[in-house]
Amino acid sequence: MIRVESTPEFVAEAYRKMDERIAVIRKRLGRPLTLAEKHIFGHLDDPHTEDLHPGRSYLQLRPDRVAMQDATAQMALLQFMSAGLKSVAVPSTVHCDHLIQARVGASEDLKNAVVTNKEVYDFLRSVSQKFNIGFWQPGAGIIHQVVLEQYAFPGGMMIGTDSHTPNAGGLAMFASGVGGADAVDVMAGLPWEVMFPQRIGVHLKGKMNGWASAKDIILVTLGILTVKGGTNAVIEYFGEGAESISATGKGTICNMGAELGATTSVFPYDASMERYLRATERGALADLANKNKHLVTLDDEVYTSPEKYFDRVIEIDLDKLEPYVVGPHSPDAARPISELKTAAKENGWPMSLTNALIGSCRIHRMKIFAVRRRWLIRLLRKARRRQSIFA
Amino acid sequence: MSRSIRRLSATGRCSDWRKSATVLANACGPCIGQWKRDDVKEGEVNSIISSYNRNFPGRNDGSPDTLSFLTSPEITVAYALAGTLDFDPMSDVVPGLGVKLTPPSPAPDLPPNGYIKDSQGYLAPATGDVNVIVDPKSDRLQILTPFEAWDGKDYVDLPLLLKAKGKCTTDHISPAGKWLKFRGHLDNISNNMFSGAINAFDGERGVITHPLTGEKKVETSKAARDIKASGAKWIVVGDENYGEGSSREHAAMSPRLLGCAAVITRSFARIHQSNLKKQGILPLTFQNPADYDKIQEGDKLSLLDLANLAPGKAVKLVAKHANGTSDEIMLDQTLNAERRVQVAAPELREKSSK
Repeated sequence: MIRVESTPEFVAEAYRKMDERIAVIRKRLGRPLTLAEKHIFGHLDDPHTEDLHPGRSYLQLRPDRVAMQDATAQMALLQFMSAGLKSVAVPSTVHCDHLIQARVGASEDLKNAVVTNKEVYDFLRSVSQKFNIGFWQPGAGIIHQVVLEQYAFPGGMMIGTDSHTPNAGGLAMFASGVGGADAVDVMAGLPWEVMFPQRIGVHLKGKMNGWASAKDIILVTLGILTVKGGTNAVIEYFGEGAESISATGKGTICNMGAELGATTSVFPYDASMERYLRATERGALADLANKNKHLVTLDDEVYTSPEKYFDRVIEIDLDKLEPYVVGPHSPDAARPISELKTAAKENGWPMSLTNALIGSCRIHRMKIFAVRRRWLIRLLRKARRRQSIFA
Repeated sequence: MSRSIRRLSATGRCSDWRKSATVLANACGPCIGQWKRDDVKEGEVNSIISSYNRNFPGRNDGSPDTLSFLTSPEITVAYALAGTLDFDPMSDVVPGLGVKLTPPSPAPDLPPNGYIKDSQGYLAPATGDVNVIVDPKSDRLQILTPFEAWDGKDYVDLPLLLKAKGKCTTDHISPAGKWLKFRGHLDNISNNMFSGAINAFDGERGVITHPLTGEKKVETSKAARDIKASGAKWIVVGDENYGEGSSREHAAMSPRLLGCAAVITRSFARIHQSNLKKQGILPLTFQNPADYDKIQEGDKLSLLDLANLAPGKAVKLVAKHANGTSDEIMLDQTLNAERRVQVAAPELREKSSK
């Protein structure tokens, strides 16, 4: 019976297969490979025969994992039940994060959700138990955060029934959002079919400072590529600027690659990911990734001459990165923060803000709550000294 | 429980925050539309700001009148202090506070005291047998019955149900919010079908002129059910990047259930196009995107020579207009890819694998 966890043995076996398949492709193509290509070629159902034209060929791939959230899992698992199998064929998890309605606050809302969604939770729990699926109950965490902490591993490939599945790209995993029927295929032991994506490289230069944060990198990219600019493409970030971003910051950027319509987004394995793996008690996976750097990073030739190997290369200078505010109504309605006031006036948007909401699956909560809190309190003290409304 | 949330609870920092803000559950909440607001009236245009990842109309609170702005958590906090969009934290004094903000110092990569491992809330698979029970009377879960297979004939003179204009994301096709609870019940959730889509002929949201009766401002799903009940199928026409956004396959399953034969657009988003194929709906694109403009209200649409559907082969559409004229339009399809065994809806994939 397969294990739900990404154990060192499972990951070592995944690397062994990747090595084998990539060797076949290197012979066929005879050129350096991007990281996303290594993910893709390393998971080909049949590396000998697959047609390999980016933007044209449909590939049959063998993902390592499947993740489902509770809203989409219902229909996926109703479909899986009709396949008549005893167990899922690859490690799979269900995460109850979508059905909790925000109204009053954490504990009361959770209590209400458990009551109002009882039959759905009972169904998902029992169907998970029956078909060998790991089950994360309501309140246990948001799917993308739990996957990053527990299951993602560099070089791996995962599909998830949620469009923000690419969050796991923060740990150099090829993680793609799919419909439930795709997930059912993979859980039933069939390959995942997807168009061989075009390769878009994002070269991150310099280092962020001041108000700029990881979020601004993806907001700027959205402004450049728009909400359909990433359709049937993989966004691959690289460069010295990438190394200065935390693994969770990288996850934030990859998560919102969904807004570009991208198949997924990835960062190459680096020291920040190693630190994150060790901090989440997965040192053995860091050791394995270190031993297999050729599988979890892009080839040197691609790094030094990206324009030769990507279909398109975008450069972002992090030294000059300004905070961005996007919206309303579309995430690619992007502008630097300095232009927001004027845009609001010209469009007649209500100036007064009714709510400010912090959080979501693409945010490293510790950062916000621990570090930013100190900053906020300093701010408030400063304000108090001036006898402001906060006194 | 999520390790970072566990660490957060252990530090007691949540309770500090509670003094000035509402701490929501460890879940998706308003980011995906699970937000029951009572601070604004229905139809009240209002602005919100967040560090979330998506802001389509109606996304966060179900209201298309909420203007949702996205930014980083740091900047969201700055705007929370200011309470107005008429503010630039980089250069302005915070209104009412009389102070200028300084940029936050860089956050460390990892929590200083590490994460806390916690398996609370996780349930491993059972070793013995488990009974899966779905109440046949449930309004939230419904065991699926296979869709009716395609009869192999051309689609002739199908009514145009909807011509969608502009953005038509999966939030427009199958909105979340109050509908989320029906995600396990295909028939019930299908009542939301296209309720967020903009009708190209009059700019109205979620309502169309009934293709059978001519009645105005009918809910799109209701008209679809009527056409299905009459024994016919229907077609939807869409604009650019149709189906962008969420992976929810209900945006394909509901149309399939209510009788959609094909979706014809200027272009598709990847996940949705794949979902349509898997549920047995033909996803087609205009060879000439300008042909979108040729589709008129009340059109009868025919898709011809489908028996000879082959990889890369174009499909001919004949659009008969209400005034007696007609247009021949060529459409592209990508069904060449589909060569696997279908789990839920067999006909299209079997067809294309031949």
